[in-house]
Amino acid sequence: MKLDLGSTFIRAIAVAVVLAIVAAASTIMGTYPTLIAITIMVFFVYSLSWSLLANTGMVSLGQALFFALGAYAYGIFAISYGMNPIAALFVGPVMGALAGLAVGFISARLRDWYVGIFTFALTPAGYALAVSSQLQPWTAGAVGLATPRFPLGSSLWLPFATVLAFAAYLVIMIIKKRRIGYALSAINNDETAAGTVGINARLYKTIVFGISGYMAALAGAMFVALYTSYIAPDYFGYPDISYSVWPIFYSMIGGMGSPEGVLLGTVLLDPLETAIRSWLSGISVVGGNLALVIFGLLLVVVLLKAPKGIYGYVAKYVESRKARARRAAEAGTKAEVSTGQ
Amino acid sequence: MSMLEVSGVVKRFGGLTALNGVELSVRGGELVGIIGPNGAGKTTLVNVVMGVYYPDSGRITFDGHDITRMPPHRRAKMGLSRTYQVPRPFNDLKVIDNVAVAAMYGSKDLPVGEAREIAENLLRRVRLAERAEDYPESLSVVELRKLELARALAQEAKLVFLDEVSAGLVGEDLREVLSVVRELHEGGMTIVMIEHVMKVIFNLAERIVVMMNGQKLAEGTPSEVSSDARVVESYLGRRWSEV
Repeated sequence: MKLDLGSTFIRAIAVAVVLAIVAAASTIMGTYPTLIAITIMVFFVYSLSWSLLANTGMVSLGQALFFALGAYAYGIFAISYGMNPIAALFVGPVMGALAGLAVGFISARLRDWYVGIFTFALTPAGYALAVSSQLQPWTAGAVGLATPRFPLGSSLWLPFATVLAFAAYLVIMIIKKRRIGYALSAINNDETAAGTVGINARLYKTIVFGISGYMAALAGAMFVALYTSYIAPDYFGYPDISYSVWPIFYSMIGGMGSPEGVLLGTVLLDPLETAIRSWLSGISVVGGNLALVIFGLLLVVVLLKAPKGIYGYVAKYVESRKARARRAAEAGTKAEVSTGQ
Repeated sequence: MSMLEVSGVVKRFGGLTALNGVELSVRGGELVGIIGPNGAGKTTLVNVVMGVYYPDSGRITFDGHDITRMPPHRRAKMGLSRTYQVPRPFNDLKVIDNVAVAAMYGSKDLPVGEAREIAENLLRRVRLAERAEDYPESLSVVELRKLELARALAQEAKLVFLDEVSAGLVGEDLREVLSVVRELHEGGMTIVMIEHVMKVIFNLAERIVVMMNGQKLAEGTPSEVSSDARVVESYLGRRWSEV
């Protein structure tokens, strides 16, 4: 997935500008758009965590496991252990990283769709733990956990989320540019050939799952700290699978081959999802699931037309325009030469 | 002492015995050819030596270490490499980065910058420098073969298996790839060439191993092998007239 539009530095600046515009515009528009913008930042981090795995050849269908673990770890650290919520926001996701390493250790030994089945099968287990009577003193069971107010002025919540979103983008870009990034591309393309050149695919897949687990858990913690102030067991993506599915939709429709594509998908689709959901909930109680149906159809349509997502489609178009301009320039030089003769 | 020692290796796939007690010994600096008809077990032998599958029985040693059950990436770090009959490039990486990644993770662990410098030099050496910034999907078969040779070089492999490096090539393209192979060998690399057609290795190999039905049928210099009655009868006799 070679979606290179410009140098790394220019790309990073462009992403920073887009994030800043989203934050500034929504702040001007009012309280509700500001909340939507916070979810954009959260789901950007979350979708990046999913696409990092997908670009290493592992399709996670249970990413909500880590999202919910981050949310619960944040809440439990802040409530049951009296940790400062700001500290809990960063320490809680360590649970997601540990779970990611464990899931990754096994996933690295599975091929193809077995990774999807395995990760998907873990989400009911997460839900069962959250509602179990043994853990009720910490999780508050099916009732869910109300979390204390995040100790920052509420006008700072969106800027804070924006900074975290940009940090997550930078982490992905650094991974891409370092030694490990080359190994991940090789593993994604051909795991056997990667082994032939000396790459320990199982080790890297496990590490990547740990990083992805942290990022997804951070998104979960941000979601609770800066948006809902409440943790429900269904964050585990069970029985409502949507928590596992949104990052897949956003990444694939936007273009999972590059973090910019993931950003595009999130910025376009997250507000759309909210709009569809609120519109449908007026019509029926299953509005959320109907929104999934609509997004499923949208995914099919986009992938038929643009297999590498919207960003991939645009990148390809720009590339072909450049190539045409180059050919035209060459033809021009030739014409000059021939008139010269 | 030999660099690679394969002894009594058996590999079964269900009811099919692909390798039935193969013996192979390669000394450092040699260029050995392995020939045999389709289904003789040549590629299975490469896969077993590289660790794609572990043998059901038998033993493989490389540089004096038992590698029979060692994972593939560790064999690569010890200096074993291969090319594929159907080239397997990393399509998301540019040609130069395909080679650089092998330098990063091969015998040594090198940082990106140094690995890319090495890759640049190696691409010049295999005469592929002008394609450095392209993606592998735009490469021709010859270029892909050269890319895989450059990858093996970048790993600083001591011993490389070339699995039908000549397949699908004729005329100038074939000569070009074979001349690169010869240069690598002259540069000190130990090479085992798997070929389907005798002609390709006849002038290149110092020693030829003939495989048949998962076993070693004969072994010797090219002229010894081609005059061996069993070989002529079971393999070359049919094919020799075509060559």
